[in-house]
Amino acid sequence: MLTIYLGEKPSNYVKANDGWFMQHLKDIDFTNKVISEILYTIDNAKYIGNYMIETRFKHNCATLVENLSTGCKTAINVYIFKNKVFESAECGKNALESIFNTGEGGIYIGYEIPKITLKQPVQLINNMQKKIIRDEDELITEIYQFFRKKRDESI
Amino acid sequence: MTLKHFANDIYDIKFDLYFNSKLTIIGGDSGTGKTLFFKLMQARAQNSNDIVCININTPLFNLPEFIENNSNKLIVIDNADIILSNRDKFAVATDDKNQYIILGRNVSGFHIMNEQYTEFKIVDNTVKLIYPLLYR
Repeated sequence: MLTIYLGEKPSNYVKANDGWFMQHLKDIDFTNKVISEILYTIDNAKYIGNYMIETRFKHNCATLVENLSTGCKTAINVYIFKNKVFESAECGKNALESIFNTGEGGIYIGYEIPKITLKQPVQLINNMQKKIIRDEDELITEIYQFFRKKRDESI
Repeated sequence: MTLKHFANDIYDIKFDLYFNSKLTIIGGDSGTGKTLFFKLMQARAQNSNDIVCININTPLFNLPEFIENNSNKLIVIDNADIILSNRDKFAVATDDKNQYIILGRNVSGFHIMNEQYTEFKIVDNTVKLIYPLLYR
């Protein structure tokens, strides 16, 4: 189950997704079916071996996995390194959807995100209070209320 | 404004971007070319003193101080959601001497108008700037 953190950052929080991804390339099996789906869904990219991909920006031309989008790298980080909590601020809606649908690992939400369709329950940890959420409306309400409260407190 | 139009057609997906404001924040889906655009701007910056590119790899940088001492620069910032502090955002929001292109999704702290938030969209194999908030 995906765990979503709001508020206090956990001790296993990772802020810089690009850096983590590049540092741990050897731990990532790019031929894994789920990773292939993440590459295709978010970046329209295909792994061709030896840490090289083909992307929609240059067909029939290999480029390093380094050139994947940060959102794509984040989704891969979340799926592979399930004992870490990754910052989601640099994820577009498509990357967040991929993370939510893969349904494993942990992300930290530092600002309001768009509504994402939930295909499976998620665990929300709001300032260390745990709650299982099965419905996207409930999730987005929790997130909006959290940030509204934070804004009100800062005024 | 230093940059009103940016075009690049060396990739299978072209860039055709029009900038209307001195502060433009670009969000949108992942994988639409934001970091590629940043790298293209970094290449331009190598031959131009008027372009400054900042991202997570930029060594410790005092942005408010830089802004105070410079004018007529194009300042392009990638990874903005994780590298800019509230103090940095305030300095950007209140500066009218330089142009900013900010790649990030969190608009809080910038006090922007609708036309200053935009998204990269790939339309007919071309990356364009779409201003979604203008049409809501």
